[in-house]
Amino acid sequence: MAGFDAKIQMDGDVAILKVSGQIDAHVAPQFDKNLKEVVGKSKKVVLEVSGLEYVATAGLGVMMASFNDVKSEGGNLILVGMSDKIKKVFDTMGFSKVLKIVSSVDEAKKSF
Amino acid sequence: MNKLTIKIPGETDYLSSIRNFVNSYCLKLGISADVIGDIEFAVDEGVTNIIKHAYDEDPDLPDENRVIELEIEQQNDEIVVILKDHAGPYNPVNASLPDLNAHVASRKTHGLGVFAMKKFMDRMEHRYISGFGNEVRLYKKIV
Repeated sequence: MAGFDAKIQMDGDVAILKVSGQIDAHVAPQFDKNLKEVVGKSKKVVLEVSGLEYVATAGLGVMMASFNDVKSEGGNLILVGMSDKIKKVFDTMGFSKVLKIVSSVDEAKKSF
Repeated sequence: MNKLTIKIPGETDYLSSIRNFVNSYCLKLGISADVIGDIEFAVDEGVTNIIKHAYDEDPDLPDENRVIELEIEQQNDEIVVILKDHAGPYNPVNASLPDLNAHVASRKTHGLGVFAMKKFMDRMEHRYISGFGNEVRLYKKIV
């Protein structure tokens, strides 16, 4: 089974979910649960993905669902620390046009 | 390198094994990490589609048929991956691709698999073998 880990932390009114490992269709329901828990804490959400090695479209769908949720309530979901491999998936699938991707949590906090 | 074959139960627990299998085959051929990433992604999506859509949505399919066979082989300057299932006829090559903006607005959390396979591979073929199932061939140039 692919390794996956998720850690939640608060930084002021910003909720941060740090994920690492691989998100495929098997792990996506767990990732969805983690992300929904974070969205329940704040509508300013940072998804820290520097440790993410793989993401399938099931994982992209989870991100998009929570992005829609926070957007509808005036918040945002910003991705931080994306590797070139994951960035290629985002670019090719067109998700980079929709989701904001920055290089640090500080940069994300200034973008809300 | 010779053709390699793996057979897995049609369950998502086995997706990482499929990716590892594809990655190790391609690594031994010295294929670039970038191209391996493309093949890994497309194959994972293809197998996921079979599990989530063909098998999970067909409760009448006998358990012994809920398996997926994957073959991988280098043919000249291409990697060819063949995915075989025992589901009813489904041709992903003819599937219409989603409008991504509409997809985002619709809040769907699935439905991008075929789009991903088409985007990350060079070409794709399908045939339905009566009494057996579907065979999808994915091609990727490695040079």
